[in-house]
Amino acid sequence: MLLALDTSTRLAGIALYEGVRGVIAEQHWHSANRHTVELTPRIAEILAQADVTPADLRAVAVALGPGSFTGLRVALAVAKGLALANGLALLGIPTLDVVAYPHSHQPLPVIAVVQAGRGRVCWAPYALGPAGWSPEAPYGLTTVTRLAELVDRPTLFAGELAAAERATLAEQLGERAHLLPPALTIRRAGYLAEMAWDRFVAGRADDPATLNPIYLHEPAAPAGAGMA
Amino acid sequence: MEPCDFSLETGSAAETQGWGSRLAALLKPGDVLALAGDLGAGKTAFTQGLARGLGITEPVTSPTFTLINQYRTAEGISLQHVDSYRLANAPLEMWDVGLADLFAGDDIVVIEWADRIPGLLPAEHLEIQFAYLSEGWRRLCFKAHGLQYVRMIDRLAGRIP
Repeated sequence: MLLALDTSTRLAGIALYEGVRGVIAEQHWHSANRHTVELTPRIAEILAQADVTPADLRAVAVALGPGSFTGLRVALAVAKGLALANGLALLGIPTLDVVAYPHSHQPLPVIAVVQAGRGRVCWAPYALGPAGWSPEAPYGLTTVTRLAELVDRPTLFAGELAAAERATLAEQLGERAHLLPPALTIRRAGYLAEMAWDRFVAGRADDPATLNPIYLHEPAAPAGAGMA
Repeated sequence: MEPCDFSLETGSAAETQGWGSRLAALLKPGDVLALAGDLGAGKTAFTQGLARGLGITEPVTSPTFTLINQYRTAEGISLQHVDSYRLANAPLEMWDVGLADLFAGDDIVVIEWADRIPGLLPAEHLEIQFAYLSEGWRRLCFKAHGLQYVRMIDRLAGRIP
């Protein structure tokens, strides 16, 4: 059994997953930046509801970001704690990979976004390439208006977009903008769990000592002064 | 010193607070004010006036040891009062505190000793430098970084209504 945790943004999610049964339990909620106090009670709750004990867990997955600075650190700290205390495999998955995942089996190129605050999004283009379904370019950080200017072909937009941002994309791009109803863009913890489960089965777990969030902004820090 | 977009002199802490209150009336959610200047140059007095102008009734003190104090008005506007004076490696430690989340949100953010955290400030912000002139007298220098702050300074200076 694998436990997946995602507090990258205000839309938080957790899921339980197992190879044969798939997603066993999953929940999402909007957190007003209260991930610190909300996450662990939710984990206890979902385990109890699914009649699962910590001893049944073999792996813990976490969304690495980009996203809210504090949010990323909450889930990663909890995931590392669970991994170390219970001897679980730890698997970190980039948040934008989770956003793009449900659209990996359709033909349109995808732009995955997460909210970065103050009208900006962090984004990356995804398409099926030689390396499989993966980001085709480094992450960008820009406004939705500027992002629309970069799009020159029909593109599916994945991820949380405010109503005004959806309107901007529709207006600037016309038929090139393929927008989904909001509920279809939810970043489900079940996706994160499934991606992590595949890596867990392949024996490609991460090292709890070195796994770090993917931050939107890094300070100009002295070498070696990164976060533990 | 680089030229100011607007500068003024105040003859008392009360007068410095008055300018803080006046600026408060021009602020919108998400605005960022970067305050710089020596100890006792008026940064905290200015912030106290600003808080009062926003309708915050709690006493406002420098968050020198708490790093960030948060206040909320009756209308639900939040003021984040940040102080990077105490931090030895201010940019790294302020980053570690999660300053980026404040700049991603809709709260008004006032940073004292903002000159200690270059590189962490959003590109658009209002810079205010405080200088000690003589007993009681202080000089405030406003510099706009971004168009919205050019307009804010013009309003504060009474150049446009």
